[in-house]
Amino acid sequence: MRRLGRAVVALALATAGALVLASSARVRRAESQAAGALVDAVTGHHVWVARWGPVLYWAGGHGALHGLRITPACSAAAVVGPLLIACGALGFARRLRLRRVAGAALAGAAVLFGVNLGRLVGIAWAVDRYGDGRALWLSHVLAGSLLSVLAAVLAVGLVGRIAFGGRRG
Amino acid sequence: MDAVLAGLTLYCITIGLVQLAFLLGMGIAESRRQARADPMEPWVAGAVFALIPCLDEEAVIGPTVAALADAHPSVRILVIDDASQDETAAVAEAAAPGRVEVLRRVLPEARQGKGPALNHAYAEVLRAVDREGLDPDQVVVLVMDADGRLSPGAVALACAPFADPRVGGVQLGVRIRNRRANLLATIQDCEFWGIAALGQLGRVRTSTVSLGGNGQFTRLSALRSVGAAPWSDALTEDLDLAVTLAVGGWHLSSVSGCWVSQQGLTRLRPLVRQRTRWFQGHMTTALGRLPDVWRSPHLSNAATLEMTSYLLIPFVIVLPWSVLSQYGLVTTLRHVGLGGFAPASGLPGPRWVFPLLAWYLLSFAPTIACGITYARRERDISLLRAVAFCHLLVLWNYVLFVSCWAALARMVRGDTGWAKTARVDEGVAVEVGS
Repeated sequence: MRRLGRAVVALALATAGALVLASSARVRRAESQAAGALVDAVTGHHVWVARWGPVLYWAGGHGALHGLRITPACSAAAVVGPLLIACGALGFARRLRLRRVAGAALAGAAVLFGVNLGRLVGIAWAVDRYGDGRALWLSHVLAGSLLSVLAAVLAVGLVGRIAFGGRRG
Repeated sequence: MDAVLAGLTLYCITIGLVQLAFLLGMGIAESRRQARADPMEPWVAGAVFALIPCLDEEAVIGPTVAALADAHPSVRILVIDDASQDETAAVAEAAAPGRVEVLRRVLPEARQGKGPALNHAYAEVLRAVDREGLDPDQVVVLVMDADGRLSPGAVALACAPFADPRVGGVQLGVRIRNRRANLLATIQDCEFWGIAALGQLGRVRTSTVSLGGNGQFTRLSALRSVGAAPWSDALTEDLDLAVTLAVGGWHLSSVSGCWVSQQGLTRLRPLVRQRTRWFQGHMTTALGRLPDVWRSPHLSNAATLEMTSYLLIPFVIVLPWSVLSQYGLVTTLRHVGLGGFAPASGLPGPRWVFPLLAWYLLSFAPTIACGITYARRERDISLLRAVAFCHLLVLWNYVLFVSCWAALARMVRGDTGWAKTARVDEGVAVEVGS
């Protein structure tokens, strides 16, 4: 019975990962909704979230209309999906405690979604404040890329620490 | 497609960075801990047997035996002549008369690989231990290559961890003796001493240090727990033994402050051949032994994770990165060609500067870290020079890429035959007795 329970949880994790990848558009829409609310709070401007896709618009401080489109490569879905699938595979390993694996998957996914959201808000803030020239390049390409790598390193490290920490299952 | 490749690239970078940061970070911490710690309780081995397997090693075996006999008078030296066609046996005997025993293997039993040669000598060690009534817990077996030289005091330092009865093996860091011969030799020294030896120290924390073919110390009782033939006929019999001992509950350790030196290869073609053999052995061991690692009741979860990530390096990092790094390079060049974000950015300087700068930072940061650690460990090179030099490690990656793919191709073909690495005379004369 315990084995069955373990298999169910492990499969659920892997399925969740596959779903995140398969429904990337929905995930990006949800990310744009969350980012919209945060950009609204950070910049103080009203933010419109497009109904047709993962795009935010707001009237910036310089009087210009800014837009931010979350592409598949900009979404956390591309990294959260594989992470959940890997955690699902780990869930089958009887030497690991299932609760720790599930917790590790949640923690890793939370870090990836959270940091990516922070990255999106950071880009919006930089563009709002300094315009979409130099600020966009610095915040998106340079700082954004480094932040993505750091988030992935943190998430993978966290998953390793939590899932493999403690005593054997 | 771009999103998938970007995601895969990010994971490849991430796993590489996590592993590098963990090993170098833990390695530096362990190195400092050992330097700060009170001198280890001296552990005096009942006997130390040095096994030196040789096949046509007359060019190098003399100085190796002489150096070992001179610097470590208590070590009992067994040279295994695996049916050499040259004067290996005579040179070895002449190098330390009365101190070395040459075990001659003859065809067709001989030349079956390093593992069977070591097992032949191991049987001799067991007979001597039984004959002399020695305690196997107190006996240490040292494996050295024919060109291996121990640093002063290495035997005593390497034996100290055996004071812990759980320790079954200790591996010394490896230095390249001819590291100033040319660029390839220096790169190998940086790789062995600046990165791998530090990583090995990091693995002391999980007691999963990997054993190598040179400077490998094992407790006799640990070897006995494995069976009559502890060294397998695998291409990397050292790694295979490390897995066997770890899975069996033995702790594997390493020490800073001493090392074993060996010749580095100075030409590209033999180097690629050597690395291809190592990769093939590593990957074969990984595929064959990972289930044992995961099933072992003796390994902690942290040790399991560490061994798994180490064994999977060729599959999870080297092979994917050999493709994905080209994707990253092409994407960067495309950005440069199109101007990327730069034309509208208002950034100073030519438009290609900043995309290239971002690519440089993301690609070279690990090698810069390696340069810094190499400069700290290799006192003969300045920090600036080491960091500049370590940029070549990115080019060195291509040697590893080629070797790893060649190894995979050999595995797919089922090709397991190999010629050993040839060594050269270093100009140290040893008189051969008549």
